Amino acid sequence: MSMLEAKDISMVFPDNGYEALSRVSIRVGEGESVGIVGESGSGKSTLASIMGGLLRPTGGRVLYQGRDIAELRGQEKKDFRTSVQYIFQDPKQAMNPFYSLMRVLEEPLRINRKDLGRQERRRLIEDMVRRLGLETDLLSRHADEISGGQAQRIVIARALLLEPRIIIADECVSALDLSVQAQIINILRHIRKDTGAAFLFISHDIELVRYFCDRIHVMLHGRIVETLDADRLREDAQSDYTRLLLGDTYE
Amino acid sequence: MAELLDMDRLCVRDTRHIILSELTMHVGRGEKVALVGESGCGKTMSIRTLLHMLPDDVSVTSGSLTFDGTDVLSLRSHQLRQELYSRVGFVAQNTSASLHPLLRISTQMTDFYLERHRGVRRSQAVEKAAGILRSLGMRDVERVLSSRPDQLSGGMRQRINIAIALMDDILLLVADEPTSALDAHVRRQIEEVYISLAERSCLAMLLVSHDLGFVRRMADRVYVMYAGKMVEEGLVDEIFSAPVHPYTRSLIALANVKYKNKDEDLAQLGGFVPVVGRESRSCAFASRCRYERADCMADVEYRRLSDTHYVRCWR
Amino acid sequence: MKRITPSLAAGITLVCIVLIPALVSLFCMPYDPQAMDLHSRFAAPSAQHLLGCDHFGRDLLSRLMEASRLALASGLFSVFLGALGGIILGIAAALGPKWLETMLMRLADALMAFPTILTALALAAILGRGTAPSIIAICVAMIPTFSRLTYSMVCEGRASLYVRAARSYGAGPLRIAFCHLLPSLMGRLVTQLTSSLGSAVLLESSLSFLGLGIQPPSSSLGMMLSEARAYVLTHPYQALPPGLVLLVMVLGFNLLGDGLNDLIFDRRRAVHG
Repeated sequence: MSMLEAKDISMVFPDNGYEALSRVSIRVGEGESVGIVGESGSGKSTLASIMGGLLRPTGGRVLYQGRDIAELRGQEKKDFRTSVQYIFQDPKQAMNPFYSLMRVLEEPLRINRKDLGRQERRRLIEDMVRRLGLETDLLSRHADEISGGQAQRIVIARALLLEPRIIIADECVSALDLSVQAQIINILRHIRKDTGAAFLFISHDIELVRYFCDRIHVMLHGRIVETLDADRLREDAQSDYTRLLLGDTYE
Repeated sequence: MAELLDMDRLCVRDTRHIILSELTMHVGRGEKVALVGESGCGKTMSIRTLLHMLPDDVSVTSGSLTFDGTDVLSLRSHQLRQELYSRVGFVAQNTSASLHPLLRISTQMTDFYLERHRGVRRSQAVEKAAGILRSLGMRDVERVLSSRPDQLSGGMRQRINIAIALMDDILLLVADEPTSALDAHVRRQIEEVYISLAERSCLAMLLVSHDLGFVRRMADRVYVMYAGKMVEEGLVDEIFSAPVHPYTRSLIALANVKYKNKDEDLAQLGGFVPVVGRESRSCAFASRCRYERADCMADVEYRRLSDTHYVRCWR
Repeated sequence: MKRITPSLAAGITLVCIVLIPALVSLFCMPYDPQAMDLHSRFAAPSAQHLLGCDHFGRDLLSRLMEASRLALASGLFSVFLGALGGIILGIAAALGPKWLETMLMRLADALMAFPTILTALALAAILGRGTAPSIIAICVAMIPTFSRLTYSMVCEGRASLYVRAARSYGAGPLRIAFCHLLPSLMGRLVTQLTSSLGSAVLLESSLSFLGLGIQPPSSSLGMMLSEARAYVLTHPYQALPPGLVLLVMVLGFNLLGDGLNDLIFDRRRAVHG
C-alpha cells in the first residue's frame, strides 16, 4: 500500500475558473522519493498543497495510508498532519516575522507533542539545530536577521522535529544561492538516509530531480505528461516536452 | 575621457551594521561589467546606492560616486530625474512587481518618458516604444502595447521592463539578476535579448547576477563581491580561467556542479555570508576558506596581479 | 533601532498637553467647575481666573479641565468597546463560514451608511438624553472601521506563507487567529485605535454641542462651544479655549497614530539584498 496517493485530482479555482490540475494521479510509497518536474504554471505547487491537505481539490481524492484525508478526524487527522511536513521555496516567508526562531521551532511541538515539558522541548530543538549545522545562539534572532540558507535549515528543522514520514519539498532550493543549494540538498539526502522518510520533491530543474529522486513525473499545463524512472531518464523519455527540459541542461 | 561610472571607496551602512565597505568599481563607456557574489554580499545595495534608491535607514557614510561627470550622491530628487534617470536605465529583479497591474503597457512605457520630455506628444512616445519593442525582437507589438501585464507571459513582461529602461537614450543599463527566477526557455530568450543589446557598442551594462554562465557570455570585466567588499576583479578570461581568490574559485566550481553520481553528496561550500563585522580589515571569507591561516586575520590588502586583475587575498 | 519620528514626538507632546490637566482635574481644580458666581460673569482672564469666567460666572479653566477629562474618558471607553466588537466581528467574518462573512460585512456596510448623529438621536429617544446613549452611538460608529480593517488584514494574512506553514503542522483556526494573525495586526490596530480616539472625541463634542451627549451641569467641550456661541458677538474669546483644546486633542491623537504606525512597522522592514 502506498503512503500518500493522489487519485484523479482536478483543481479549478472558483474565482477565475482557471483549471490548474486535470485528473492527476501520483503515488508516494514508503521511503520512496518521487519527483515532480515542470515550469511555472504547470500546477506542481497546487498539487503539493493538495497532497499535504492545505487545499481541497475540486475533484478526486487524496489517500493517506489508504484513507481519504478529507474524512480523517481526531487523532488520525493529527497523525496525518505530523507525518506529512512541508519545506517551502521561500523559507523566510514561512516563518512568522514577529517570532524568534526558538518560538518558530517550538510551536509545532507545543501543538503536537503536549507530553513534552519546556526543558525537553528546548533540548530537542537545540539538538536538531546543531544536527543541521547551525549555532544554537541563532535561535534568539528573528527571520529577517538570518541568511536564506540558515532560514531554510530552520524550516527543515521545524519539519524534522515532528518526525515526518513524508516531506513535501516545494522548490526548496530555487530561491537560494548555489553554494547554499548544495548544502541543503546534501542535508536532505542525509535525512533520507537516516530517517527513511519519503519525499515528494518538486522542482523546475530536471537534473536536480533526477539526482534526488527515484521516480519522476513531468507536468505541463496541469497534466502529467509522462512518468519516468530517474535512472533511465534519457533512455526512456518519449515526450517532446521532457526532451525539451532535458535539452536545457545540455547546452 | 573619464570613466562612465566611478565608484570610489564607498561605505554604506544601516542603523546596525556596515553593508558596503570601501567599495571601488568602475564602468567604462560601452563596457559590459558584471558584479557577482552570493545574496547578502551587498550586490543589490551597491546598485541601489548608484540609483539613489537606498532604503530610509541606510545611508552613505563616505566615498564618492560619479556618473558621466555628475556627482550622484549630491543630487536632489528633481535633478535625479533629469540628470540620472535619463541616462541610466534599470531593470529590477522582480519584473512582475515592477509593472503596474492595471495600466496598459503603452501607458507604462511612456509615462516617465513624457514626464522627462515635456512637449513630446503621447503618440510620438508610443511610436518610439513600439520601435524599441520591435528592436527587442517582439512581434505583435500593437497588441502588446494595448495589453495589461497579466495578459502577457513572464518573458514578455521581462522584455517590457528592458524596453522601459531603453526609452531614453541611456548610457548605462543596470540589471539586477536579469535571468534568475525564469523558466529555462524564457531564460534563453532573455539572454538572447541581452546579447543583442550588448552588440550596441555605445551602451554600457552593469549586470548583477549569480548566473555565471550568463556572466561569462556577456561581460568584458567581472567584479566579485563578498560580505560588502570587493574580493577580486579582472577581465572575464582572467576571472574564469585563472581565478585567484578562493571565493571566486568556489563560485565557479559550484556553477559547474553536475548532478552525476547519485551515490555521492554534492560538492559544497560550507558556512554562510557573515552579516556583522564588515568593518574589520581581516578576510571575511576566512572561516569558509580551506587555505585559512594566521595572515587572514591581519589587514588583507587589495593586491594588483596585472593592470586589470586585482585580488584581496595573500595567495 | 527604533526612531522617534517628528510626528510621534509632536503627537506625544500635544496629547500630554491635554492629558495632564485632565488627569490633574481628578485631584484638584482651581474652582468647583459647577460653582456659579454671578459677580464674575464674563470675567476677563486674571490672576484669580486664569481663563476668565463664563456667563454663569463659572471658572473657565476648571470647566475646561473637567470637560477634557470627560471627553477623553468617553472617547477611550467608546473606542475601546467599538474596537473590541469590531475586531471580534472582523475575525469571525474572515475565518467563519461564507454566509457569516456575507452577513457581517453587509451589516458593517449598513452601519457605515448610518449617520452617527441619527443613531445618537434615536438612542436618546429610547434611553433618554445622557452620556450612555452618546457613548453607544459613537461605539456603533467605530465598529465598521475596525471590523473591516481586521477582516481585510486577516484575509491578507491568511494567504501568507507562514500561516500556510502553521496550518501544515496542525495549528487550528483559533491559534492562527490569535497567535499568528492578531500580533501582526496589532501595529495597524493600535494606529487605528489612536486615530479613532481623535474622531471619537470630535464626535462626542458634536453630539454634546447639539445637547445630546454629556448633560449639564457637567461640562463638555461641545457644550462649552455651544454656550459660547450665544455670546460670540459680545465675548468672542469664550469660544477660544474649548475650541483650541479640541483642536489640540484631535491633532495630537492623529499625529500619535501616524507616529506609532512608523514605529511599529519597523519590525517588518524589508530584508537587505
